[in-house]
Amino acid sequence: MDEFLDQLTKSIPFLRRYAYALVRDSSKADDLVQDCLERGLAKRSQWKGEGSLKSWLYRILSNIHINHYRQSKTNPIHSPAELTERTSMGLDTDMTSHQLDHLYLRDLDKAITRLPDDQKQVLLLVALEGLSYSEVSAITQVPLGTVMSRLSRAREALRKSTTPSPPTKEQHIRPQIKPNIRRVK
Amino acid sequence: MSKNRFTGSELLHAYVDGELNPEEKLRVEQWLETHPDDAQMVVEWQKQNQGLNDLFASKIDEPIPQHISTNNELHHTPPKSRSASSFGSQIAASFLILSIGIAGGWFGQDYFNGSITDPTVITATTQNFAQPAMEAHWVYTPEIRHPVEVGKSEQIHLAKWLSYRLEAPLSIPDLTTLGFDLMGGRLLPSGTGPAAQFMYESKEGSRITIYLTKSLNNDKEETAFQFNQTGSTRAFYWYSDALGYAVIGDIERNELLKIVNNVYQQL
Repeated sequence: MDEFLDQLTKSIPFLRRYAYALVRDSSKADDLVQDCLERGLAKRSQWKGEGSLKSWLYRILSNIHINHYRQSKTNPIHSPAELTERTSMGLDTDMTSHQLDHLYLRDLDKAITRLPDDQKQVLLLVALEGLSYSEVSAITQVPLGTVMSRLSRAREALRKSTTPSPPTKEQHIRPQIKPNIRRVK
Repeated sequence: MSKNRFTGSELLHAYVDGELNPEEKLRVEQWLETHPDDAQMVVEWQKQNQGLNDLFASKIDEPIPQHISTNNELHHTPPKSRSASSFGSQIAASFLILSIGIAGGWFGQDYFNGSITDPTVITATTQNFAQPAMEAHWVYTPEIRHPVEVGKSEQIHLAKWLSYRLEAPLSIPDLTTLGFDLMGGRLLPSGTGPAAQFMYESKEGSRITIYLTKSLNNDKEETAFQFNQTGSTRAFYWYSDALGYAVIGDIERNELLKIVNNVYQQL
């Protein structure tokens, strides 16, 4: 198999994850990935082999998302500050285990969907896809400083929407039982 | 690179995201030792990163749907078409094999209708019922003193009572052969009226729940098993006759599917 197709194929699971996190609809996300792959193949000659192919594909996918998908969908911009009270800064105690509280994950999940698209995109590319700031700057075609301010606002919005659970002195809640087989990250 | 690429709180973000060189990293770590508010912020952001990865981890392992392909010949095929015969190219075949490998025994499981459900397709209506089922699972399974409302000792009463409230004859599945003992159950509110939850526990303390709710389907048709996952919690759910069923657990997918098949046979 040639190198380009090989890398393209290897990128599919990551593109699917990113697209799903962005649009939250499995079939829309897969359409987005398919469009991205088709465009990537069509523009193949334009890829100079500089930088990672994956990052180039994220850029194509992001552009398709902005051009075709974002307009069709209402994306209400909430200010989480208005929705949730500022929480007392009680640090969640159970950070030693990597198993996160499900209710935290649920709140986080909801908070992500409420982020404005530009912030969501930067947050997902950095925190989920593990891209560098300069890669994200190239993908989103905004300066590094803008990448950082979007990232910062996104994280603050998530923090405000994920209220840490109050510390419990009494043992009412069982410690998390680890699943028998852990997913390999 | 300039030493002052990042300033102020940017440095903290850059620290969390692994953007710093060793020298900058050290400086931030020293700063955090004496600035608990900033340290707390850093911990929070790291937790968010972890959470994001947990939330979407399942997408990476999911079998890639057949209509997603890098095959040039398929370019003009509408994305929705899922014809298996169009799956000719070596490239497509190679990642099909790859995805089967990743999916573990997913395709190998016996589906009761002989049909394979695409786990990526979750319709809005059924998701509405999987979500409250998962929330009930998260709320009640961590309980030490009050995990259930009516205990195992009153099993006959529990079945009668919940049958009466859900207006459908319920039997409580026995999962002892799979290592899960009934703890009891409870009545719950739901968007479509009363719902019921049964809880089971393994010897290792792992808990699974079965959630039943009145079906929104007027046709009362059976649907195939559908799958949903949030974090490490996995759920299979389906409709059968007048009820919607969900089986939820923080266990591996194939293990959960064994339980699901067993539950289905007992209904």
